[in-house]
Amino acid sequence: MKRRDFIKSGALTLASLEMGGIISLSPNTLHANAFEIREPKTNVALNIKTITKVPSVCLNCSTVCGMNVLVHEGKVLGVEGNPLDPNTQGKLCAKAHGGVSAIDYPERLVYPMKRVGRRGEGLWQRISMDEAYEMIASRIQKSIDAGHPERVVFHAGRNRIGDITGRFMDAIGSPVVLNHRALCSSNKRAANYASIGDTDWETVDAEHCTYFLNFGSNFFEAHQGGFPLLARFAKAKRNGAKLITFDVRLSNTAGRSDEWFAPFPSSEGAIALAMAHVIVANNLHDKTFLKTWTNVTLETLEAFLKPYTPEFATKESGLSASDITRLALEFAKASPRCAAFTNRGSQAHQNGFNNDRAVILLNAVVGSIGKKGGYAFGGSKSLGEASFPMPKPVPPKVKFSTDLEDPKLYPLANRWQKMKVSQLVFEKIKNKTQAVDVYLSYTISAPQTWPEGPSVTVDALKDEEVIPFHACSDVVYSEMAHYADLLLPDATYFERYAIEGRNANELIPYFVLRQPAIRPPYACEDFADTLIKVAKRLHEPVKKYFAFENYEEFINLRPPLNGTFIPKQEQRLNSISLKLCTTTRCGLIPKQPKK
Amino acid sequence: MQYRMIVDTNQCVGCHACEVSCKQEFGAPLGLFRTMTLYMDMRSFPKVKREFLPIMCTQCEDASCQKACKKDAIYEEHGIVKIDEKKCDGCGDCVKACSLGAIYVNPLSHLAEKCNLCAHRLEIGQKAACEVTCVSEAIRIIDLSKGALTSQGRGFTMRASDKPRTVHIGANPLMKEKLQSGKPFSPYNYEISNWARRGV
Repeated sequence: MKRRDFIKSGALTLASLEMGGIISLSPNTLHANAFEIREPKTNVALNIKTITKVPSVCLNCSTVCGMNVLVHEGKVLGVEGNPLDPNTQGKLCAKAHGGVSAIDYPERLVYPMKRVGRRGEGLWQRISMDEAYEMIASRIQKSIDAGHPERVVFHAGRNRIGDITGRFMDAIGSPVVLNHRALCSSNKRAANYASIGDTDWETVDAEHCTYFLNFGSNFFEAHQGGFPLLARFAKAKRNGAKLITFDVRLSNTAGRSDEWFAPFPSSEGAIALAMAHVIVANNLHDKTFLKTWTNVTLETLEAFLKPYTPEFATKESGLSASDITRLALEFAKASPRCAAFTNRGSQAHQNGFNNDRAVILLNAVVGSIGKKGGYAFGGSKSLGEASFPMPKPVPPKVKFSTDLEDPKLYPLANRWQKMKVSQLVFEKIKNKTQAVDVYLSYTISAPQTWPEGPSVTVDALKDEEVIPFHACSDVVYSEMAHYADLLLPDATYFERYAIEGRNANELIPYFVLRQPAIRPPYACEDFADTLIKVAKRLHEPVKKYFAFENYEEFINLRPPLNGTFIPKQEQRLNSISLKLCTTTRCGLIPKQPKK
Repeated sequence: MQYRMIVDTNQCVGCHACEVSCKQEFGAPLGLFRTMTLYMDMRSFPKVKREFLPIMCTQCEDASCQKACKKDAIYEEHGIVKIDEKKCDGCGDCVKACSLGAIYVNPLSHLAEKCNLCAHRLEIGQKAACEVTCVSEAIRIIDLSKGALTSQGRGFTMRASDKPRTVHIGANPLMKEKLQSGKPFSPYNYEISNWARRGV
């Protein structure tokens, strides 16, 4: 028999692949015709009276909205908003509803598989999970034994299980945890860090705000955390709030704004500074706020703003000086119930860091920070670790760092969080700046998302000399999976746990629990559980930090500290008694208001 | 009971959540929708205003779909125009008769389907799938026996003879240029990403 005779082609056959069978996959070809394979099935409408509602948390984007998963006879039929979720209060976006398709997506990975052809050729053989654990564990053990744990690299996007991935990397002694931050929110977070000292998402007390000065954010459609903001904006709008949008593009937000301005790209900072100039020149600045809460004197601020006249901003942005002056005065007169914000707007461009600092400054100048209806800062996420202590023994933090995740030289070196330079990771790996033994990838599809994805990223991923072993956990056969040596079938966010926190739009920190609504199908396994099983195969001292059965037990060992609502154990964690959750608050762990 | 839907286009933010939650509710097949949100940009740069129109079956009185059905499968109950699945044979006469294009024939079940105000939810005191998820509260379904219809707004019609029960507030009549009578809401018939006025 020729080899091609028993190579099954296409993901339609993925679930029917037998142990040891070989399959050919490609991330660029659609293997399954959705019309043909999707039969009429049961739906929410037919089961509305008997459907089980499992409170959990969406993860179709990182806004992590609370939701009820609608389950009928072990199948997820849909989702609905959870009215108990303080951020979204029972509403969900289109994406959240669509996310259900991930569960029975025709091309879902359902078995662990190892590469049998050349890397990137797409030939895979089904193996057992035990073989998969062993493949990873033996290689990691080798790196540890050789005294080079830093050659084990973990690369993830928004994985939302940092508690266990961080513990794993700490336990094996590798500091090399890579992400995608510099391609996402670095400018914004750095601007927040430099101005306010925190790096979390910015929050607006939108419901009570009367004047929104929006620098490039498209919160009607795409803004991080946009949906809860949109809900509150809609209320404020009904009460007569005004929305001004600066955006180079006519987004839905721009198209629905009271006024839309299209400045030259990356000139938002100039506009904000000119507005601050006008406000100070007209003596409308909040002197008490500036004296109490900032580390500059009024004279310094005045001198700093002096050159940034509306005429200067006109030259930079193309907006008229009279518009800039008028908006500045309107904004100041609306204070403190006004907010200037950017989210991921103006930061995602040249000079984004300084543009965003200028916008934050505008809030300080009118003193709207921390006031009702003003610019707020609600990073409940930063309280996560303290509110849910890690099970002991906790592995010590790794004391050294490498140039890969923490560059040491100007201009990339800084004292902020690690990995501000993700755009350079593949360049460095390709040029052998640091040796890599084991590359673990999760929730990241770098060939698609890196600017030079199809070139440098793929070059590095394909090169077995620079990345000798690549294990990838994914829900579907992604571009990243295509360049792996070992594929681990991940659980979707409907099938796993996590303790979630987000910036609190109600301005009271809170936490939510993601819990499985169904069990992962076939051999699918939460990557957190895979890591725990791998860790158990490693020698001491790694093993001792993983003295729990699985991630469910790990979460169970992290009970909320005092002041938090503790749901009954069996309601919170036992998937068998999930039905009990329908009438309790078990999906939500609200925190007491900060004193 | 007499149910009425009120759609406030001034509140709509164009997020499409109603469409997807509706598809989820009924397991609608890929590419077919019971509700759709049209976009249109009015005026010119830089004074552009983007308008939205969530549109679905407007539950007409003396509905043309009802008249067109030779199988007597379409009837009215509590202000809702319903399709009797036992009588429907999927011939598609109703699809062609609807001036909004609010009906499609499910290619898998061969039954005509359209918005029925989530009658199964209203029966047990729940809100419709679109209403419950709408972030800007642009969609409401009321029971006339419990509250009066808003004095604002009016029925959105393609033909003078149509008598919709649903009330649209602030709907732009120019959106009619975009609707295709007799053709279902589907990417095959519509470019929902086209913001310009048709033919402008």
